[in-house]
Amino acid sequence: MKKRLIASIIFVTLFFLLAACSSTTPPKAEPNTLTVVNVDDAALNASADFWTNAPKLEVSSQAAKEGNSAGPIITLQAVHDGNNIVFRAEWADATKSVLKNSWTWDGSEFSKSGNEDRIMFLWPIGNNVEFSSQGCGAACHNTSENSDEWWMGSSSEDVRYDAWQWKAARTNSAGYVDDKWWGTQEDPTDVESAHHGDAKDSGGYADNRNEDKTGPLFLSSKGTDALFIYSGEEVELDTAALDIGAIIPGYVLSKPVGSRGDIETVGTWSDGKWVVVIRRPLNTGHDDDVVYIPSKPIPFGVSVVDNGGGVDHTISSEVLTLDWK
Amino acid sequence: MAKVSKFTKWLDERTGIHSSIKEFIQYPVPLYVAKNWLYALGGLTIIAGLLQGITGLLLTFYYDPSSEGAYNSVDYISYQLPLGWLVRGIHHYGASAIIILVVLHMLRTYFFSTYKRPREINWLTGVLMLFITLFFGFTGYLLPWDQKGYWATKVGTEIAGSVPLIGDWVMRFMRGGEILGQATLTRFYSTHILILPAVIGVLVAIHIYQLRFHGMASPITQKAKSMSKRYVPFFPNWVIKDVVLGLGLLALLTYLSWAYRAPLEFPADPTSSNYVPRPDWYFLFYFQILKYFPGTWEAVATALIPLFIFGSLILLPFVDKSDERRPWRKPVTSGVAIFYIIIVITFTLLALSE
Repeated sequence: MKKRLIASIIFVTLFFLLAACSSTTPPKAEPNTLTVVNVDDAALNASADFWTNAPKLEVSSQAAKEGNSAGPIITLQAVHDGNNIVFRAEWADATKSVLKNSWTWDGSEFSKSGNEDRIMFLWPIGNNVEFSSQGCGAACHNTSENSDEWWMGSSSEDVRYDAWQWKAARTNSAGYVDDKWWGTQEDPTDVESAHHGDAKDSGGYADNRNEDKTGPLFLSSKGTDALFIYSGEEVELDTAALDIGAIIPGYVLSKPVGSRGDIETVGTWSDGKWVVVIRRPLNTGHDDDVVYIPSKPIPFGVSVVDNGGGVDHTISSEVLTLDWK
Repeated sequence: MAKVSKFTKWLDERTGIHSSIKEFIQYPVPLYVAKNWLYALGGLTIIAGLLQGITGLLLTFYYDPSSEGAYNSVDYISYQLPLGWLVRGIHHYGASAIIILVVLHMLRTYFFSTYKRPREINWLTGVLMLFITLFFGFTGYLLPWDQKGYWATKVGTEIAGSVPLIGDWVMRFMRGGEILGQATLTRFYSTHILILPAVIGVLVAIHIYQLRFHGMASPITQKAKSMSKRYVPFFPNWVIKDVVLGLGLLALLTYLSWAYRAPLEFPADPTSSNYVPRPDWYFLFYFQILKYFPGTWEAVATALIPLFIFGSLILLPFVDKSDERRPWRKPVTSGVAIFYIIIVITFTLLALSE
């Protein structure tokens, strides 16, 4: 009897252990969670081998403005090496839009046109109750019937956001992501008054236009075929040398020095999709930046823009979580 | 050394403490007990409790028991305070370990039938300590003031509120009002760090006193009986065994804290409408069982299931009065225990799989 009891206890225990093991399929990724994987060297390389082991998060982007079309699925991955974190984002975009506010010469005058593709990340700086449960919606103030009055930012002095804007025309080719922070709306008539660029000593993009804003000021030293004008390469414009239909970039680009420029990037467009990698130190030491502590989950939001801006972006409608493996 | 000895003698003359300690540590432990690791579960549970006390005390140095500051203070402990992650991790995983140890200790007591006359009070204090341990877990769950703790407590207090007749009063008493807020946090915090430790301290003292008063129960196997006349002193034999096990437990908790950091979800948002609350793992089976009782039946089940479980445990020594203590000769009591173990594991797995 004693042996039978012991045997039955062992049998029951083994049965449940086996049942527990068999029901333990490989751990499913938490929904809406981007898991950061630890690697030896978090290189700014979209083709690095480590991406094969980094879990993918697919985010369906929804129109920020009701009635607009939904956006593409954004595939996100992330790795870190203890010093830097690197994000890889990939999304379908049939057209490569890198000529924002470019100037077109018709033989007698310039006309301005064009916009750009973008991807944006939004992070709360510090713990933020509303953003943690509402995501980007917590920062989106879209109650006015006039969408021109919609603004994004914080409704409290105590709450700030770290807003990264990768811009295909203005920042990507200069190798950085525009690093801004959002606070409260300082001027109720200005939807941009909640947005502030991070501190910088120099650099950043500048309008390429003359004093009366009727045309560009510079050409690239590489000629009119150049898609971008980098600081140091600009030469005085000579309209006599321009062919009809010549397109001149709308901005002179350079990487900012300071907190504004501490996010590096490489973005390429091919075969109808953008692949962008973004790298930033886990802790920049700047108080206008989010701090990443490996093991601490952080909520975030992401959005993309297809050749546009303002309310025309498409966003992750749910809260996304950055977690650590 | 002579001065120390002189001081000890001086102190003992006035308090009797030295002779009391000497008597305590020289207590003769039967060899069959000293050689059976299952008997170490009680001591290991006390060590786990001490670890909880020490780590809990350290956490109070930095914890802010306000609904505005609680989350940020736990966040600070977890991610910025040097070794804060370790202290919180040991406390977090220690809470689960102590529940496992209490249950295993009670199962050993149950299967060895050592709850029987004249050890009923020891069994009853053990049952109360199981209840208190679970209540420690319930009250501690809310303290980080994160989504998980907030919503689990909301559901937990709602379950208490669904008990017929007294439920509404119990819920408001637990919450300190209609809704979860500062009053709830204050009540849970003071209960967690003052009331429950005091109560469990008294119960442990009674438990150990009873153990020493009655001595160990007689052996039930032939092998143990052959050793029943041989004794070893409590110190060092028994103490070393417990210390080794305690260090092993500490090592395990340290590893778990390092490998799987104690979770802290996002801050509690009472306006959140899509959060799916879940209790900690040791309440999952109950949470799952309640799902099978819809509507008004849930209220009945909410009250009856805990009443039945704790009522059965309390009545056990007064119902099972036979002299037989060998589990293989007690198919009913052994079968009932195995049945309950299966129920708890099954419903826990079901809850986990959903």
